[in-house]
Amino acid sequence: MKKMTLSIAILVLITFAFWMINRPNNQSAGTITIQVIDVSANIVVNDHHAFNEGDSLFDILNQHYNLICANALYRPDASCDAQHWGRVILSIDDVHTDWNTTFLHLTVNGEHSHLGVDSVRIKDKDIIQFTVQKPN
Amino acid sequence: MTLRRLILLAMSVTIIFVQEQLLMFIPNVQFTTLLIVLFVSVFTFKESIVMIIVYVLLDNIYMGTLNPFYMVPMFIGWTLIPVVYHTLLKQTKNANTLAFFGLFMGFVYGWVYIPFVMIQLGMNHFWPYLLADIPFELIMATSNFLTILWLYEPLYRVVSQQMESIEKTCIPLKKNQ
Repeated sequence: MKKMTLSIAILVLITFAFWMINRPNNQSAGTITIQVIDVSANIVVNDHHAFNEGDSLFDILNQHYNLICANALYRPDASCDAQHWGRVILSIDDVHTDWNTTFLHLTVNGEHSHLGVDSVRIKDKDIIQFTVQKPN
Repeated sequence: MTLRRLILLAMSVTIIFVQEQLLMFIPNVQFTTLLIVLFVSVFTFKESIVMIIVYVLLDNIYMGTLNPFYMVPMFIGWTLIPVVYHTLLKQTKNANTLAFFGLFMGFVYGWVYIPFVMIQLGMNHFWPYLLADIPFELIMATSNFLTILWLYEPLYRVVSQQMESIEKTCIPLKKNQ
């Protein structure tokens, strides 16, 4: 009985912690610019999109583009199913990367983003860039 | 050390390694902490350290991560289990105490890697790394807590009984060892 109580208590605590981590980041609505830059430094996508409160960057991308994400083994996965550690985008429309030799570097207003498409906090008039890069 | 005890040590490394490979598709969900806590409580401190050295070497050779930035924190992280078990925990067999220790280890194991990651990436990655690692630490902590709480006592009974029966029937490799 004591074990069961302890187990339930820990599971409740962990569920709450995950809810806190994954709760929507964006508290406002507005318009963002999404740019995708290919390996030759050409801007192949340059669009403006409106977003609502609670939309993540992934939600906006998923509404307007054909995405391929990485699965748990970093292989291409067109389903882009939610992963609790956040999605990694491998392809946006015709711009493809394979994670090993190239990847999509995410910047927000020209600054490297430490967070991915599920977690990054976006606000009105942000410029989001995805640039194909090769690992160092 | 007897030959049978040496074989048991090798078998325990095999069990840890195989279960970890089998559960690799779920990040940080594993029985490794449970098994290391279990084997640490039946082997001596020295034997436990040998077991961890072999396990860390084997794991890193197999996974292609044979470099100090992975191996050293991994070794430090797992070595904390026998060190704390034989000092602060005073060799307790209480499943609740060990389960809370496992919960704590879920976080500590992640933090041990931070200095080594900072050497590679730079100090400006400290907070992003620390925050990004929290979900994985939570998974490992929960996994450790639940597996130790429910499985430690039955597994300890079986393993210690087997160890006792082996001890009674075995022949030492050398006298006084």
